Amino acid sequence: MTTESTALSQRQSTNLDQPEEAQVVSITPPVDIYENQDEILVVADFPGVPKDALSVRLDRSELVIEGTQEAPGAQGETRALAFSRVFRVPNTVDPNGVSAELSQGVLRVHLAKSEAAKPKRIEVRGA
Amino acid sequence: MNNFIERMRHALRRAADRVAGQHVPVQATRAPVEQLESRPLRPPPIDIYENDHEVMIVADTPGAFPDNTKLYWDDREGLSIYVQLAEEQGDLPLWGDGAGEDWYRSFSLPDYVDAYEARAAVRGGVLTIQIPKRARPAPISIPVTAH
Repeated sequence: MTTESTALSQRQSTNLDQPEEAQVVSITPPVDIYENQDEILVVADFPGVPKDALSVRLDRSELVIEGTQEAPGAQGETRALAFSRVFRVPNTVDPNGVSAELSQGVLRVHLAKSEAAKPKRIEVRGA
Repeated sequence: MNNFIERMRHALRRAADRVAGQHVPVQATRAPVEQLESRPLRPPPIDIYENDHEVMIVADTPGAFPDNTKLYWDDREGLSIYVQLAEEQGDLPLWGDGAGEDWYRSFSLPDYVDAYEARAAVRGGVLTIQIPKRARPAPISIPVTAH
């Protein structure tokens, strides 16, 4: 971003009469959930949220994902947003098999299923 | 001399863009709307800023990177943003809000900006488009004579 653009955003911010805290708007990010036999995959939109400002935690049976945008600017459709969403996770998920990655503003949380919950092939023996 | 300074400023800005985000070219053609309509589309939220030198459009387009982001400019149709997202696991979601749908939005621009000189960069799923304003001709003073 150029210096002029930065100055522009700052100018927009200072034009607001509201205090700084009031500008942060909390919204629910859109999420898609996929499932296959190995895992449940949660895909959520977190545009402009750096990895360090993102929190993913599994608290008993609740998955909590939260994040705040890096460059809060003025009022408008996109700026100064905090994202937060909570999901109830089935007990078929292995708490030690949870991983998350952030790429191009899209968060993917992989919830691996426990071995007991995976489909098993039962061998049929002949007499 | 002024031209030289202007060219240097331009070069510096482009260098700054490369550091701030990955550059996305603006194509001087209308968006292929007929092709896009076959896919589910959603409009990204955008903010528009303006100062003395340029108009800046900031769009939240999570999943966007230079190779899947297309910007089209056409004098009649205006500026269009299109981001084609890869399908997740090649399947429909079990449940969802449409987080995997493509991004598309188009809008007209005021005639005092030069869209052919627009620069765009994407970083962390946020697309920033900077469109410089044209130099306005200096006002002319018309002398009035009395007869």
